[in-house]
Amino acid sequence: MADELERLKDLGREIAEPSGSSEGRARRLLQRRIDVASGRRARFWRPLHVRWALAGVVAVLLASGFGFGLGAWNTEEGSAKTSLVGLGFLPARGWTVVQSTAVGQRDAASAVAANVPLRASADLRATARATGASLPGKGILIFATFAIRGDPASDAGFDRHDLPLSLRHASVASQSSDRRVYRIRAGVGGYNVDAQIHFGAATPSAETIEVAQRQLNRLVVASEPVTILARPTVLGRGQKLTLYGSVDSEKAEEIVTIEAKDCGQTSFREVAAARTQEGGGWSYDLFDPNISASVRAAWNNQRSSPVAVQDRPYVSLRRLGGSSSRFSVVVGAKLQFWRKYVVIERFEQRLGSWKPSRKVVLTDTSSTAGSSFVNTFQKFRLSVPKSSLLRAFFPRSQAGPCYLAGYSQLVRT
Amino acid sequence: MLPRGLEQPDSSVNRLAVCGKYPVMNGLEPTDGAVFERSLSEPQIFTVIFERYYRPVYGYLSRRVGQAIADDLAAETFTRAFERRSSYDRAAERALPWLLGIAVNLLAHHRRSEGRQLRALAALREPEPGEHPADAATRRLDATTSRQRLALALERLDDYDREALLLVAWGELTYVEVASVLKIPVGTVRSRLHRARRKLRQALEPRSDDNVIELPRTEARSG
Repeated sequence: MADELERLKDLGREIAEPSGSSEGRARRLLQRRIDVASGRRARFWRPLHVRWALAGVVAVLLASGFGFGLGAWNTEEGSAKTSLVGLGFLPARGWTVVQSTAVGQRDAASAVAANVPLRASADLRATARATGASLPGKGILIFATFAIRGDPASDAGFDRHDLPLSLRHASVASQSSDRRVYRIRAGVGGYNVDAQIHFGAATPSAETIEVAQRQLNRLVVASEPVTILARPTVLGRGQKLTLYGSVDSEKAEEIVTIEAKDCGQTSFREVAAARTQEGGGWSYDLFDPNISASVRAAWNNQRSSPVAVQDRPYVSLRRLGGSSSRFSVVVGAKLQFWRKYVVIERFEQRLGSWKPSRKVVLTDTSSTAGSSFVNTFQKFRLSVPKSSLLRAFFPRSQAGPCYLAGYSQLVRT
Repeated sequence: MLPRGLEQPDSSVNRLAVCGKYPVMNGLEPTDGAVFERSLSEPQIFTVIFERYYRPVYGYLSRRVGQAIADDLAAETFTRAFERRSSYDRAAERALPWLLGIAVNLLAHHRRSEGRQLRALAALREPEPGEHPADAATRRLDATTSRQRLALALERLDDYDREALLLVAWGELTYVEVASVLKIPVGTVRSRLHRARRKLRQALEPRSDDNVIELPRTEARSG
């Protein structure tokens, strides 16, 4: 039999060497401490080649934005394009157009075009509603939303159409004595376009309808080869993501690869794959990155814009052994939170709000075999009146950049 | 130019060049004690200690508590070492025992993780490429018998005995160095090692019930 010490050494050798990232991180932490000790300022400024790269990126962004503006103003009225990357309306003389934020970050992008001044409001939808409600006789307002295709239930209501959309395909959505609203729902490229055309008259004249059609012709729908949407974009306790999108071939049985970049990582890695359905839509359920991440879809050597998904750590507060004064609090995540603190809060019936009772520093860790999940926890004592309602709150300041704040379930003492 | 305090008799074969942020040693390397002494006035020189000992310290920690926790503990070990560099005994032959001493203190907060790590070692083995899961399971049963006993016996050792044993086996320290890490006499180290090795030997001896595999305890996720 081999010497037990040798066997023990063999056992130790089975464990991998440090990865470059762990060593690099430790080196950076040490360097920071050394810089502080040396009285040197931390290096906020980047090396020269990084500065040049950043300057290049800014220049490209500015140039592309400027080019889009020029293209919009030089486009002949009555034309519509799907080759431009963007969602919304090209402007025309006498019209005000506004587009919302990029699609993918939220459920749907939206855009407004009106031949009257817009009424300022909290968001674009409210602006459209307020302006549409006070349109003059010849006033026209078009409000369009752009949702990514791929969810079969949603796609069913949107027949495929090419641009430009025509008012001939519109149906009357609502009508009153002094206004009429038409609606067009169409699948265009990788998006479901829902356009509402508001008129300031119950029976718009032929001339007004023609003006509205001319602006509708200036609707632009981005031509992206592959799209992705995440729902929800903020993951709570026990929640998982549904990802969906579409490919512009509109064919079934295409393979779409889902790539994710965890917070703190520098590159994307493949995490899953999905097949497209008839029409090019695809979806993938139950994806859980366990950490804030960027997710994108890849198909046919092309990649979608990434969508950001934010995650909360798992926070659990429990009574120990049925005691009303001994508890354990656990924060579980892909990262460990050793020496971070959790705030134990008690619900004040009288005030109707949560009040902090104490901070508990997490000093113990555990991990489950074969899992990348690390639990950081602490046992503690807390004297509270009987029947108090408690919860643990893990603040954003302690969670770091890769997680949102987290709450535990409620515990009754 | 070699910084003052690190000179050797033949300066042509013993230079410290600075490559990027980190000093790189050529020829004869200065002792750890000289690096520590110099780091008091030139903190940047401490990165030499990091380059020399990060891997052994990380390796020791990752074997004890797993890589996820070792990442943080190894980084913490070196930042603490830097802050306490003035207390380092510059007459010591090498800095590894002193660094492992800091690491061992940090490990005290992670006893539970260590238990899980040992049980994971006993239970887990990656399948060979292309191997059918059923074959892998059979092979695992054969392969894990002794390793499992070893890991479980290790887990059952007294904390003090295990500490001494692992500093020798995984930290690759001498008895004298272990004594300095644990701040105990060398004789005590010897007796702890003797006791620990005897228990491991007993655990590894063939038994009549070798066909019975003791499954490692699995613990549900806390909370």
